[in-house]
Amino acid sequence: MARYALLLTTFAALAAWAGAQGPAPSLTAADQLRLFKSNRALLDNLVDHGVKMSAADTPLARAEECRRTALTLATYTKRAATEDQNPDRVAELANLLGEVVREGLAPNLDEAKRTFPPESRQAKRVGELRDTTKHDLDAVRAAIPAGKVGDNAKVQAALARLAELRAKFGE
Amino acid sequence: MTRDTEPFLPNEPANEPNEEADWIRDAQAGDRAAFARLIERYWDLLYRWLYRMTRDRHAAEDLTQETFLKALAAVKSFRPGSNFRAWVFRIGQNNFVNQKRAERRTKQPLPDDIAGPDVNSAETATENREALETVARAIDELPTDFRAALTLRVEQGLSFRDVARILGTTEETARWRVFKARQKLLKVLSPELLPPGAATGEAKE
Amino acid sequence: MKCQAVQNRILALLDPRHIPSAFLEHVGDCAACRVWVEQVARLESLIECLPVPPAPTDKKASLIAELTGASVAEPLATPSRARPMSSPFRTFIRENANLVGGLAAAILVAFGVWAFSGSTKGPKADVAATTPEDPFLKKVAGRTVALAKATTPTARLQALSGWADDLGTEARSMARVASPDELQEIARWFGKVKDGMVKQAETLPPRALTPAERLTQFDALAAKMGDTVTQTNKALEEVSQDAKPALERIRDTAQDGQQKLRDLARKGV
Repeated sequence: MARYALLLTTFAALAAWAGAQGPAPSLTAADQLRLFKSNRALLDNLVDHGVKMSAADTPLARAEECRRTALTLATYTKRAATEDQNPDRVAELANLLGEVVREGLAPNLDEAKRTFPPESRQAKRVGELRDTTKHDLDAVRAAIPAGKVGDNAKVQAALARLAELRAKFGE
Repeated sequence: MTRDTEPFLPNEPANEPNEEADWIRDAQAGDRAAFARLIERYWDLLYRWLYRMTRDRHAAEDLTQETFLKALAAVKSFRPGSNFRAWVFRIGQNNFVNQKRAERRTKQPLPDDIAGPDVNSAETATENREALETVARAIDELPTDFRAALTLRVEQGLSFRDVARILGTTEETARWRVFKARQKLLKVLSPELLPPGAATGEAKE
Repeated sequence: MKCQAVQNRILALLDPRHIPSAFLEHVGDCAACRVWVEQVARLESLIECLPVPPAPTDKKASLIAELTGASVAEPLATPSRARPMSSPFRTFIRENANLVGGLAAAILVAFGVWAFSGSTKGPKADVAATTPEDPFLKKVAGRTVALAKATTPTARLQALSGWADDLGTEARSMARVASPDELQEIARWFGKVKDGMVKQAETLPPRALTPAERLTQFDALAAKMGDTVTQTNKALEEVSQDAKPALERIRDTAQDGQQKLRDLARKGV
């Protein structure tokens, strides 16, 4: 018990020290510019998707736009893996893809499914969107080459999260 | 046109090839402080040249910064052993060309506190200042290619070979552009270029 | 040797002030060429001495400082970016003290490794080994997700307003380093988001908000646009000439958005 209390106290002290270090240092101007240049085309796509999303006033319309956004991110993730061979970028983009699918696409698909009768054209479209999303996620996984990218810990963690997400879509 | 051995080139930074090679190697390994040393060495030289090209100190400063940022991003592609200054200036040249359409070329008069040559009297200072202004305006009127080559050769003190590398052309073309630039300037400036008190002669045929 | 031929050869030298012996003989004998050579030498010397005005700002020092970690450039004229010193770990301990047990030991070890490795590292970052994540990309993706979750026009308007704010901040932050073309791209994005906001506000169903709610909410959104105008104007005082067109575009777009939102706030009131 005394040892546990000591551990807890030390942990609390370290954590307090860690918290007192303040926020993580912001990027240098050079990094900021370099990242902007790398991501400019993707940002342009995301702005278009977002503005179109704002005009989508039904769950199905939002799901459609989410799927298009996810496809854009999937494309850039694959490119980062195969052309750039940059594991950090692959992990970053894969995580963003997961966020769009998990927080945007999935809830809107669920809501759309609840809205329409099972035999309706819209319900069929919901099913199609689910299938294409599964395919998109599978394609990202398949595109990651083994070695420098595929063996990277961050990439593996990101792919594991996508695999969990994919499993939910498979249900 | 004869080729001659290169005399001492003014404006060349102190020749410490090993030190610079170390900085470049470290920068290529990710050491930003090492790259900062390279900036310290070459920023003013590049700014000077880009000012000469743009005639706008704002544009020149922006282009200089942009050039070093691009150089930082691309430093791993620099081939160790080749001329780093020429490599950076080449990037600067590309940036200048890209921005040429958008740049607003405002011809600025020389500032009052120009750093002219060492002078002993106010009268000589005024004379030199006027001469410098006249030469600067004449250089500004040169076609861009000629101006670029001339200022790289004379103001920056670079060899024809490095001038050619920076401008993406051959050594012969670089030499020819400098020749044409000097020829044009002489045609425009010859009365102003007579040293004070010199007699005018007539050229023999 | 004819004068013209000699003069041409001299003009093609690396430095016409250092004349090879082959030409010196002619120059010595020819008064006209002697004068000409003096003119050429003077021209060459004047070109070497051409003054250069000092740079208008101190971008050199800023860039060097950033690379050496001496200081990090703050974005221009933005509100303080200081994030609250959040300590999720303090909260974790406070709320889960009874469950810490073996988990505390494992985290303790991890913290120890992090703490010691972090404290001995200098400002050097290994650029070659890691690419930092892009916080701006994360924000933009996050706004897209927020819009995907926004099920009401009001929620969409709030998300778009936050997005416009992000873009204005990014433009001001990038104004020192980005090219005019890159800044214009951000200005273009800002314009699209602002148009999206105005469209949402215009197409808001009449019963979605009471007139009073409409007035309050739209005025609040207009006020945020007004903040962007103010911040951008401040930034315009500090940026280079090349950065101004893009920032002016953002300012004008924000002003337009502000006015339209105010008008829509009062529509039908």
